[in-house]
Amino acid sequence: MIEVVNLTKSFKKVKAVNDVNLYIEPGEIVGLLGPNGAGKSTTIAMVSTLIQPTAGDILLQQKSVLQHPIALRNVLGVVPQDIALYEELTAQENLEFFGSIHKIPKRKLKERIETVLQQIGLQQELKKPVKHYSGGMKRRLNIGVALLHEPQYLIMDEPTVGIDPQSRNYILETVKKLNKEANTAIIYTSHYMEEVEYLCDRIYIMDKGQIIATGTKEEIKAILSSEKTIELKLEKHSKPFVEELLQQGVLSNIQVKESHISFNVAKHTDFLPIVLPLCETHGIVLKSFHVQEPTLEDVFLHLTGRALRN
Amino acid sequence: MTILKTKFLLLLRRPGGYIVSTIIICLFAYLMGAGQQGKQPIAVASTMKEEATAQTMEELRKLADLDYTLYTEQKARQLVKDGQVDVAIFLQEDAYHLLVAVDFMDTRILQNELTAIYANRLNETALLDAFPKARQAEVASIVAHAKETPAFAIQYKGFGHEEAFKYDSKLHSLFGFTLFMVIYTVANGVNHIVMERRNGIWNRLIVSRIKKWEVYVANLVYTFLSGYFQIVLVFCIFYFFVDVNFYGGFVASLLAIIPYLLCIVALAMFVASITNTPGKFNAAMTVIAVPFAMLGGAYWPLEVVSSKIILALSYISPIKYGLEILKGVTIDESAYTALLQPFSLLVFIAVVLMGIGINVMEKKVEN
Repeated sequence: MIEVVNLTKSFKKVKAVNDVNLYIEPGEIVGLLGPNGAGKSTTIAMVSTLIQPTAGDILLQQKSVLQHPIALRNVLGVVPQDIALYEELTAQENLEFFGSIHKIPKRKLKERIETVLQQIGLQQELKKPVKHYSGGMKRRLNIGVALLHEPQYLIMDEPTVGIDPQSRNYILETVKKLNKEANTAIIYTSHYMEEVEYLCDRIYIMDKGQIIATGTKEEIKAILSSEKTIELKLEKHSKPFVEELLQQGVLSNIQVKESHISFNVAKHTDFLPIVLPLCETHGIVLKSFHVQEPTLEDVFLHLTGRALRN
Repeated sequence: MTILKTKFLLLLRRPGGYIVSTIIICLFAYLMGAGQQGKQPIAVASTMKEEATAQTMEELRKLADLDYTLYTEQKARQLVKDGQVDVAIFLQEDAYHLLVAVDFMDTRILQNELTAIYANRLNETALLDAFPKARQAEVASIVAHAKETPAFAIQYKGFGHEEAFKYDSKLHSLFGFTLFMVIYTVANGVNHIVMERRNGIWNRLIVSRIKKWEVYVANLVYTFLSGYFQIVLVFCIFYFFVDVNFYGGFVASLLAIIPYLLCIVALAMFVASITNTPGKFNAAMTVIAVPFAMLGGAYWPLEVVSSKIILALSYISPIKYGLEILKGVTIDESAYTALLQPFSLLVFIAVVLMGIGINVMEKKVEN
């Protein structure tokens, strides 16, 4: 297990990461979410042993890795957000190079390259210089390079940025497969909520250098689950109906748009006994209604705010 | 070794820049070397008899560093007027006239030489006239024999104003342009570090099982070797295929270049540490390289520079020390102890800049 304990990183007077605690157990996928400037990249850089924290510790199997990072480096793979490959070299040459810097013996490396190429679906393109690859192929190779030394833990920093839906789907499936088949634990950061929702068992949400929410998907969503949003579709607009609806104390945030009305009610409130008698009184035909549960994105925006970030 | 091997593989995949810069060094060194006259041209016009003129020209040609060509009087005047020559000499039977451009510094010495030639000839004529016509041929042959086997050997040396210095335009251009242009080759090598730090490759290397110092050493060795191979290639081309005299110091010059190259690698590392992007790094290296070349004497010998400010500024240019060592092991034939000062300075600059460069680079990651 990798544990991050009270991790803090200050750049001059700015605390980029402030007292962060997180952990990842073998075989799980953990999402790390946060708006730009939240401190995700700095946290990842520290966990990857690229930069030293100002305070706090990183433990691997209960042992600090700050002074002796090699133990963590041996079991950790990092997929950077940028395409960190030599564009002039072929996929094979890139894999050979990055495999050899992990000091994988030649014969083993050959086998690993074959396996990795299969995992990332680039067996047919291995002799082509990377500069001639599509964005998706580069992303896949970028992941493949991090898998060569069979890491038990993998950090993936926005691995699907700027690629087509097919490649994105392929990468997500590869990540799932990797986790299931090789039992690789993955820290996954992304701005795509649906990816995190699809892949991750647990989620950390960061903002302004701190972890502001943590838990399973359900637990995170439960933050906003005290209310639900109801959307009614009426046959026609009726002002007296709306006015009477407004007078009902249990409804909040009522919004009217022609024949559509939406409002919030407490999670366990039965709204139909309130709405249906009103419809009957005003002779309104209720064509449909829709109950909306909060999404991860709703929670994220609720926690981090809707204001634009730099 | 893996990193080093990959760097050379990358160079082989994209050799264009390297080849072009090598060609540019050769081209400029050749053109500049050929373009600069080794000897200063002097126009000569004569109203004397052909034989006497030829004899005087022969005397004049004994003077080093001046190249005499015979013209008509009108043409000689025109050449001075156009600034193509600094001096025109008009030879007459028993006198001579000089037409001198204002910036010609050696008028007095030239005058002395001409006066000596005329005095000798007049003495010889007077000596012959002192004998009867019948014996003049015999006396002339005794005088000629005495001239061929003189009691004292007279050597013409160090014809120039102020301090004399040895100058070979071809060699100077070769050394100057090589030292200047190799800065760009070295910069290109260090730019790999800047680029890799930005695109994440550097981080991949750091989180691998290779140690950080190994990553630095591999990159710096590659940078050094790419520059060194280029210099060896250029020197070999000029030594074996172009008529450039290394004055017996060809191998020594290949060794003498090492401290300079180390210094430039360190300088490039320092610049890389204070610039964040490849674009800024390249711009900074260009801004630094050109003044260094001009101040360091890559284009022209510092010995002809009279400005005290320029001469004072020349001490900040590693090219000055690089040239000093290269000239020391070739044309100047200096003792090794005389080269210790520029050698030590280059090594000192290299150590200081490399130390600061790597430290600043690492600090930037942490801060």
